[in-house]
Amino acid sequence: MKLNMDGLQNQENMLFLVQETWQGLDPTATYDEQHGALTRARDSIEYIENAIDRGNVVLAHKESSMPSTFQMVSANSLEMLNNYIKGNEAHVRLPETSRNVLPLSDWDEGVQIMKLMYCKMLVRSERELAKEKQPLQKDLLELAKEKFQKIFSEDQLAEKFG
Amino acid sequence: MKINYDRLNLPGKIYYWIEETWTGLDPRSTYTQQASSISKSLDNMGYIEKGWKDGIVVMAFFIPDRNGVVQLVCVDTPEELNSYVKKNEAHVRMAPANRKVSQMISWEAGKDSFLTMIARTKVRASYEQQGLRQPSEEDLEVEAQKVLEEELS
Repeated sequence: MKLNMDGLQNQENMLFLVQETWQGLDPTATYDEQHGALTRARDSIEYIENAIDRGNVVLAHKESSMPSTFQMVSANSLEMLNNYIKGNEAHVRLPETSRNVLPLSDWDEGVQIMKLMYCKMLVRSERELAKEKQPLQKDLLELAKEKFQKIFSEDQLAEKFG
Repeated sequence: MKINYDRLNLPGKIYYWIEETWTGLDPRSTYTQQASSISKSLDNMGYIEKGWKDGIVVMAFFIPDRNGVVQLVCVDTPEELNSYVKKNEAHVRMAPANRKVSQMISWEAGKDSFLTMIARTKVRASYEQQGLRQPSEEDLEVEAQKVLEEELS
């Protein structure tokens, strides 16, 4: 595994998962054309390795069952991600569908948002079942926060004391 | 941040990248159904967090622009991966197309295989350009090895 631990631990930066899969060659391609295509793909490998040394790429893997690479790119802005992707002359040969870029967000923050969404739905569900008018957005948020406190602080207590 | 730095690069372990996305609810579903569905997703979060505590999950993120999570899972065998995925009652509700599992291999090992492939096509291209019959697998292997050594030296 190629890993840049310092880059990975830098929590100031945003993380993006970049998965690239190469299209197969035309079956009528000659060995010479195949060799040319592979050599250019090798340039891309070097580009990724240089980026690991610089800390732009913090984790890189190859995928075993298909011609693809997984890179976790660390960038402090979207422009930096764009520069990283567009700065590689090998990358621009990839068709759009062969590159998948996923922004990655923090797990704990994501869980909190899911919990808040759940509480909002509970509030709305209660109104719905009581056949009452749905609350305004600002009221909904306050009611959801109250529920959040109640449900999840109880959960935390249960977790703590069994 | 859910990254278990100590278990990211353990020799002998197999790493899998799992991407899971949830299908949206039927637009006619009630708020009660929606709350129930989210509650089940929260159970799934709990399962992943337990996997994290057990050391099977070494990295976990949310995907902000869709209903999905990604996990890097570290196991000894494919059977252990199977147990991790199938024991979760929330996972079995997921349509097969909503879960992508990719087996991660070492960058260096992948690069070595790739360089061998380049050397093999170089040998084959030289035979092709001279209008010669392609070498046998055994001869190809020997010649490709020579090309590889020349390039690396």
